[in-house]
Amino acid sequence: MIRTTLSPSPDDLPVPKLEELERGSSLWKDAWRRLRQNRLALIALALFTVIAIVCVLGPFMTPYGYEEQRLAYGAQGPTWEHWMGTDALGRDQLTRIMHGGRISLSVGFMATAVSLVIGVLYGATSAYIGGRTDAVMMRFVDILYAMPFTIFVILLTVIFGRSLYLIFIAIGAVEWLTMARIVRGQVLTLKQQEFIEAAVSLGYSNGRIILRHLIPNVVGPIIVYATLTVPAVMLLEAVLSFLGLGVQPPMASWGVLINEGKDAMTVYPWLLFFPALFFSLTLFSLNFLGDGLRDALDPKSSKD
Amino acid sequence: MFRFIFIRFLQTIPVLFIIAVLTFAMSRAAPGGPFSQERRVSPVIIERMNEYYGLADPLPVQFGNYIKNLLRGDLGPSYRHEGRTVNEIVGGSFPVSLELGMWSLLIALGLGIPVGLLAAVYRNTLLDYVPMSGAMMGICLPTFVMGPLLALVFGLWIGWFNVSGWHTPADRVLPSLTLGLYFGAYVARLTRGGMLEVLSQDYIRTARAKGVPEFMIVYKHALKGGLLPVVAFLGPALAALISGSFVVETIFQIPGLGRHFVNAAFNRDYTMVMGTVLFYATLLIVMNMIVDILQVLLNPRLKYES
Amino acid sequence: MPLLEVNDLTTWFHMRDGIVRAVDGVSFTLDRGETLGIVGESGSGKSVSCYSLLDLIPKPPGRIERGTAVLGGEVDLLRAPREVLRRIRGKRIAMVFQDPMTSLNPYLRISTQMIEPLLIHEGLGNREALRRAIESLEEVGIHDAVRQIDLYPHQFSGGMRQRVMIAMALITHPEILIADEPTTALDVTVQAQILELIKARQRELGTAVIYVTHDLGVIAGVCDRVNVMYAGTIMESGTVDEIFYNSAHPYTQALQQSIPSLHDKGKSLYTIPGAPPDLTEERSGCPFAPRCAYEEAHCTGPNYRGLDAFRGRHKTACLRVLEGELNLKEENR
Repeated sequence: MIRTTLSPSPDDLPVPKLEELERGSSLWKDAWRRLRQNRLALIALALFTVIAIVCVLGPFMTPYGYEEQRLAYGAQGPTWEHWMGTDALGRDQLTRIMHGGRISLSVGFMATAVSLVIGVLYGATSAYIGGRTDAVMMRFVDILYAMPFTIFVILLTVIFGRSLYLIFIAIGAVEWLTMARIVRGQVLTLKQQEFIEAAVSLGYSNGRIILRHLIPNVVGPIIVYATLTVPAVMLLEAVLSFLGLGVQPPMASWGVLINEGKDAMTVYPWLLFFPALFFSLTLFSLNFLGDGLRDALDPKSSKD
Repeated sequence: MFRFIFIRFLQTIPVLFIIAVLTFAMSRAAPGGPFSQERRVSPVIIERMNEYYGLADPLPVQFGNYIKNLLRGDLGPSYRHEGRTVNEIVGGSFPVSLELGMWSLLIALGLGIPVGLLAAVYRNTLLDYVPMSGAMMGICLPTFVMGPLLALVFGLWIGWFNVSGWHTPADRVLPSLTLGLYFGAYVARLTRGGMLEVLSQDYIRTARAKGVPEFMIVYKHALKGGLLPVVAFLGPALAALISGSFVVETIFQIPGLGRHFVNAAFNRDYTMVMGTVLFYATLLIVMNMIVDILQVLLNPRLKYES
Repeated sequence: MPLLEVNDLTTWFHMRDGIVRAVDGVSFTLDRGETLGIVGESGSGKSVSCYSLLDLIPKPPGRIERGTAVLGGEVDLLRAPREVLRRIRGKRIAMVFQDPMTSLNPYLRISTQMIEPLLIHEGLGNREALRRAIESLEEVGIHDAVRQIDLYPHQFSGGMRQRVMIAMALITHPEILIADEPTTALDVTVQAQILELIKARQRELGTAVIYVTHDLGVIAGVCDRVNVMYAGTIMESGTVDEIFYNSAHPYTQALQQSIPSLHDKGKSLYTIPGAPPDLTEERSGCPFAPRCAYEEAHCTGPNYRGLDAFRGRHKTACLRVLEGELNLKEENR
């Protein structure tokens, strides 16, 4: 049978140079362009930036301290002096929310960073070594997946006390599994690609190949997943704080504030409303930003 | 198929053993013993109590006893609730949590699947945008925000339901909604995503080309594959339902296992915490196994491989 | 009267970056029992034009802008109500798709999928439908069909699945079978078997077949007439002999020259210079002109009239050939 293929041959296509793949500059430019077209993600980004700035810089602007009790001003609704009211001890609610935001956000980012380090190292190593080691390492992850994490974090806080650092580590230590899986999958596909072979044939060491070649090429999915891990982690911290197992008074994360607000909601509903609003808006913006980043960095995975 | 179930079952045994070892190790690694917190108790009494609870024995012996008791299904006495065993407490409170979980799951699936289906079939119309924005909001309103809000609005302001307790059938409504809506939002998103994925497959085009009516395409050709992500989600969902039950039972003051666990964690009731952790772990592992088997049953490709 | 008469079929995709004019004014006819080939590069609109006939293009972004497609002189497929068209699909016009690996539903047994057209279109009971399904599996050369029919698609090889697809498409004895690249995804050895099978069944049932393919070999082997498509329009239309030995369009010639085995060994392979046009840009005149060796100024001018009769039913879109300025036979001598 006579055959002819009418599509261009692979030789006609421009082949990217090794350095280009290492930098992947066009990937980022493309991603940024796509992200800019996604209005929802941009709004989410703006919203999150505003919340973060308010929480980080706000405490320097307010005339109130977060511990500062002025019983005479106890439990007021929103006024010109106290935009979001005060609690029963006369503490300024907005100031408390901003300080709480610092804690909640730092838990979110620190614990995500911990999970990132563990997950990336574990996943990349597993995929890079491959073979039996890979199988065993991934089976271990499968087993851990079946573990009841919240319960373990609670167990950890019961046993080792409720310090902020412990919460970082405990949450980070249970949130790395999916990250490890994603990184492994990504590395496995990249491993078969030619520029890695080129690096191997140039006699680079394994460590250098992982650090300089593999990791830069898997950052896309990692950024996406990390963005989605931050709200998940914040949620877990808030659950702990809400249950009274998180940060200790007088420090207060958003979870603690919501818990206090819930106890007082019959008489002072604003004490529940405002922290809940901040918390939900933060989750909302991070989730949408994560979705937008996924569409921007990995257009193939987009569902519609 | 039976081989697969059997192997899957065998795999859970070492996992449970590892969990038992971990829990035991963690509890013994804790700074100070379980009774060191109570400052007013004299050292003599602490020693007595340690002896009574077998904490004075060498660690291997303790571990041996612990495993032996576990194998008999005995989780030991509660350190805080005098005269009550962990088994009694779990046995008394778990049915409450189970009921809460069942109602919530029913709401989550009963609401999430139809909404997700509708959104997928009528993609990019109002029937897609409105419910899906609602689902996104549901995901951003975690249980500890949703619960108090529902209690405030329907309990206090409108006055339809009690704000706390677990006595009348009406008391089930707000807690189950709090937990169920949150997961319903996830289920809706997963269903929509799964259905869109399946509806874009070549075999759906084949069905169209055969003249299959549109509703049959959805129900007969697409649904099975489209719901696979939802089934896969059930495993993690059950774990999340458990931690959700901690929150919901605390908000609505429901005497379930979750609230007992949180109280035990608060009071450092070691045997109770460990016993509950083991109980939850076993439950989850068994449920995950069932979900795995379900997935294989739903997917003929996997069925014949195993 | 032709079985199917397509006139000025135009399907555009309205994308964010602009309008893709995938099919732009395609006209052709198909007679009863005839075999028509539609050949072209990927992106030439050959598949989209067939999918448009059965309303199988994704909408949005796709939209059928204008045109008619009259089946049996009675019903215009492009304007028929949904329900009417649904009754035609799988009954009077059936389709076989390119990739048998993905075109069968992996979650349903072969039997369930095979009997579906009979249940829908002929109102048969389950048992009778199953009997017919087994029969037609045997007719496409599947042994032990009674047992095989209860399996799932993944338990079949690619060639076997394509046989199942063909059996399923022909089970209602349709008047037209549209085969979209039916052999592209298959091993070379299986390709010929599948083509032979379709040919044999076609003879028995008197079905008209439209082959959509980029493989000139398939066209030469099985077709009566050929439409050569480029950039959403038909460049040349004629019998296989006319197209292969008496081509009246430079594009058709270029296509044939790029078949490797027609050249002497050692010579470098022929490729058409340039690249296919950007379909988002509005076109004036001949779309092939920028790559054509015989292009002149008036090819893209207002006189360009598209596909027109050259000799009898042999049609070409080349203005210079139509005007008698260009004799491709002479040129090649």
